[in-house]
Amino acid sequence: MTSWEAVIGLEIHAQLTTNTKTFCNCSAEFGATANTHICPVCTGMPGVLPVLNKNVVEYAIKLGLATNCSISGHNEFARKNYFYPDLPKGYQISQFDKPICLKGHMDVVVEGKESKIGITRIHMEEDAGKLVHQGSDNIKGATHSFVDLNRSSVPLLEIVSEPDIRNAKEAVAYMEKVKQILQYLEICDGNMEEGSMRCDANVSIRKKGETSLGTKAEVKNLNSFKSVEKAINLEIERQIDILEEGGTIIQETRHYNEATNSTKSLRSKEEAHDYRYFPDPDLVPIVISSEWVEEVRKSLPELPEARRNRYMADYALNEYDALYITSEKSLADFFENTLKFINKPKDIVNWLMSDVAAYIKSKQLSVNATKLTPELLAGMISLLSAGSISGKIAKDVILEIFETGKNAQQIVSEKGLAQVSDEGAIKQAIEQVLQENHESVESIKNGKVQAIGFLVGQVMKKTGGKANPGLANKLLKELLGIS
Amino acid sequence: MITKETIRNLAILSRLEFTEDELAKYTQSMDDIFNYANLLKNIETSHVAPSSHAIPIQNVFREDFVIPYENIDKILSNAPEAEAHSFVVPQILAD
Amino acid sequence: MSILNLSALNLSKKIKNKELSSTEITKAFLAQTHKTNAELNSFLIITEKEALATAAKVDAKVAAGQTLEGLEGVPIAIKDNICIQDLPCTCSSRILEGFKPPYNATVIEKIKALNMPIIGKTNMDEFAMGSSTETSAFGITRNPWNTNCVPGGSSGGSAVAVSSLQAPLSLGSDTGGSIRQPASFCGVVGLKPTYGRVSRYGLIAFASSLDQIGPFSQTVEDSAHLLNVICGHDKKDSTSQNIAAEDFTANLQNPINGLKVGIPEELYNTLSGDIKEEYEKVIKKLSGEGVIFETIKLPSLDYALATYYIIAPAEASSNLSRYDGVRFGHRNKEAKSLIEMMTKSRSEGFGAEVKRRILIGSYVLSSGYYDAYYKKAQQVRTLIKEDFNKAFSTYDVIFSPTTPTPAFKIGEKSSNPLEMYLSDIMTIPVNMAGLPGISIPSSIYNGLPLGIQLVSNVLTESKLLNIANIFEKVINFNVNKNAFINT
Repeated sequence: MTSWEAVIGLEIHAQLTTNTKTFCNCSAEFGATANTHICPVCTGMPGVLPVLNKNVVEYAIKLGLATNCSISGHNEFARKNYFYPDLPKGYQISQFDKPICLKGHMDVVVEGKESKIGITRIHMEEDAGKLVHQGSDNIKGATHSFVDLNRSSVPLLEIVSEPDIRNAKEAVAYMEKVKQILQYLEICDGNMEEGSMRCDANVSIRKKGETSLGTKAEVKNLNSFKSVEKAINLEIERQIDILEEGGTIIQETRHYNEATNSTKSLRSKEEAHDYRYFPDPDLVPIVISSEWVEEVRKSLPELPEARRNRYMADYALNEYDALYITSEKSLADFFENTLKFINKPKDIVNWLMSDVAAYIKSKQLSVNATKLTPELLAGMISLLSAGSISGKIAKDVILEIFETGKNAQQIVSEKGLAQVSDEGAIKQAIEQVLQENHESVESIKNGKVQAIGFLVGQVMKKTGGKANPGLANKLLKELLGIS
Repeated sequence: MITKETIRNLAILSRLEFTEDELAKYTQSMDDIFNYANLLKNIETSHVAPSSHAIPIQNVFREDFVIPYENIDKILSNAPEAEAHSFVVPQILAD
Repeated sequence: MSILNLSALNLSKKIKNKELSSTEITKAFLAQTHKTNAELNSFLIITEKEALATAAKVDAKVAAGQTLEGLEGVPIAIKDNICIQDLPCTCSSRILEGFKPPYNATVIEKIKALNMPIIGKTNMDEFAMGSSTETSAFGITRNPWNTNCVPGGSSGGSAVAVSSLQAPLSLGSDTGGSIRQPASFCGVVGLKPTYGRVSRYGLIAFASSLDQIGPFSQTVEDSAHLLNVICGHDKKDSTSQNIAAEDFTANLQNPINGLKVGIPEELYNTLSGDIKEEYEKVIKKLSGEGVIFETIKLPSLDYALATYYIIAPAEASSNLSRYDGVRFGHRNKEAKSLIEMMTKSRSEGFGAEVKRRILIGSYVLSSGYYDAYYKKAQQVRTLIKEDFNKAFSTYDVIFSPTTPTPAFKIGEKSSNPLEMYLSDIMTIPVNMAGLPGISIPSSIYNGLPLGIQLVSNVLTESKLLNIANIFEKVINFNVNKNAFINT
């Protein structure tokens, strides 16, 4: 088993968050009622012509620069000809032999090991529409299908990697990296559930040490990070089984089924595919000057690596924390926005990595999608560090903020959660605790000083968590006569 | 040399179907046409850039703002079959 | 003189000075259309109601003392591959059965804005693929000069409409000669503007890099006026020329002394003896006016026809993929599966010539043949452009017959596609290079008109129309058309 090595390349389709479609002024928004974002152009009515959305080009240049690609000076669109009911013109407008970005790379880290994944090309193309199958959940068994062209001509970037990936975990890390960069650039929302990011994997295997490539299979329909990992592992195992039994791998396309965690060969159609690419005569070449590229470069936002380094330098975050906070742009932005209200970077990070992370994970939300705002988080941290609430109370307060969106001060006063620092009140509680816990008091007097922690806990309990724990500790020691 | 097999494959690729008689006719006329077109082999073009357009124009763009289309019903009313605000197509995968 | 014999410009003047109303004029042309269409079959639909409504609007403006612009109120016929919202648009094909465009072509927006009454939609070769209007799914159109002859094509209906006085003006489209060749066969003026001069938005595509809309008229001056109406940059067409507007009628009368005209021997030498003699007479007449004619060599033109019959079908095969029975047009309703539905719909909907072009186009784009045919043709296209460019550094205009022969007999070439293709040999190179070209009638040969083609450099229509206008006066092709009115 261990003598085999996998060779994997990914083709990722990223749907761009432009306002309009690639070649017409229809909204590119996801999720509208069927056929409400359509016009003669994106439904392929006779006589219409495409006009390119400038932002599609700008977004492509952004991604190219962020992934260390060179930007092609001369670009053309080509027609890819095939028949399918979700493809209104009978051809997809794509780029063929003149893609906009070439020869880039990204560094990914898996289990502490960094590797460089090459990017062969990135090109612009339009999406197809959507088929809604009737009489069955999927195409097999359906009696007829509805064609919804809302998605027809929504812009995509296809990102093709070199076969530099060696295992499923690395593939996932690469995809996460692509998603992170797309989100930082704000050109794709990276939402795999809604299909904003889709992935096909080319998988082959070879004996370790060999340099030639084995026959590859293309695995399609990878709609989540889990699917990518599982399907690639499945395909590697399938190929190893075949080769170890003396068989040969057939070059084919396989469809991954997430529900059954299996792949199935797509029967090759009765015809050989021949897409008959040729330059689209309805569109003109796009010439990208170095001035244009520089202009886009200047508009690039700070990318994850740069942010991580800045956080370590400016806020003294350790590498682990800085990596975590910059893993998603929304989280890093939240962090920086909170800093505007309170200059306690380490405290903010701790909250974001613990209670906030737990909450958004349990609700499957983005950090932006809860009632907790940077200002509210800062308010809560400020109460805590002023000693107005205890750390324990703070954990309750933040949950309350998530639920109600009220500010911490308001919650504390409404619920009477303010920390008690009144010596008299605490002393009263201590006296009661001492009376109720003779045994502990005895053992402390006999030298078992660590039992004092238990008593402090009892005092906190008695005060509903509101006693200032430091003060309680100090007073206890005084009353017990320990210095 | 254009053969019947060539025409048969092109027909599948183009979603057309022909009778044997039509196949024979198209094979003949296409063969004539390509015999004529083969005269292009006589002209030297190895250093000539191809032209996709009659007149070179470049960088034609549209600004990225939404203009909702108002006659969607006129699009859908052209559909040979429509239901649920959608175009309807018959079974895609045969049983 | 009958209304029908007046030029569009004269009609427009008479509307403006209240000698004639737009309604009177429109009714006269509608009557002639009704009277002659059964025999000629130049119109697929006649839009009488809409035309009269537009005319009434113009007359109301006149009555209210409002100023009219340009050709306002002058009727026009439209080739049936140009979309008019809510009116059937067939491209003379069964595949577009029932199709009603949800939008107007840009040229239609302009014509409607100018209140030009639209008489109807004219017959054509199916999807503009043909040179005789015989490939129409809705019957052939006949040449009014001799009804046993074809009117040329593909814009045969639009040429006949003007020739037989059914309309003073019409629009056609020209991909390889589809305006100029039928204009020549029918004895009228036909202009193909520079590629990108007139928006293609709403013109149902045949071959996108070659298609261009243009006018038919009785006179060069009328074509200049109509070009003023339909030209202009269009944001909906990426290949549209973004240049300042100009008035194409401004220079029509400029003197042309010392004009240098090139006659490409590659085209001229294909003529047969007695037809050549007819053109020699024309050249002699014009030389007498101080025009200098010289024979020139444009070697790449020998390859233009072969190049065209690769590039145009290649683009067409892809342009015609949208006719799949899914969203509009003909669908075979018995089909049990998607692939069967698409295949049967297309096989039933397209005619024989269209299918042939789809096969040719798919072949030259398929892997293994792309370089030998498609790419090669694109390279030759570059050479054709270069040859013309060189010629225009010396010559003001290129002169040739518009067609090698006058109109041929119906059925004469329909069984031999290659021979049919050869009838476009004079006009095709012009589309390959995107140049403006005009055909004007020059003489009558055996009772049928012949035409000359003049071609100038890109975006020099103003100069081209000036030269054509003067040539028209010198040639003085003056035919009594009363015979056409009394058919």
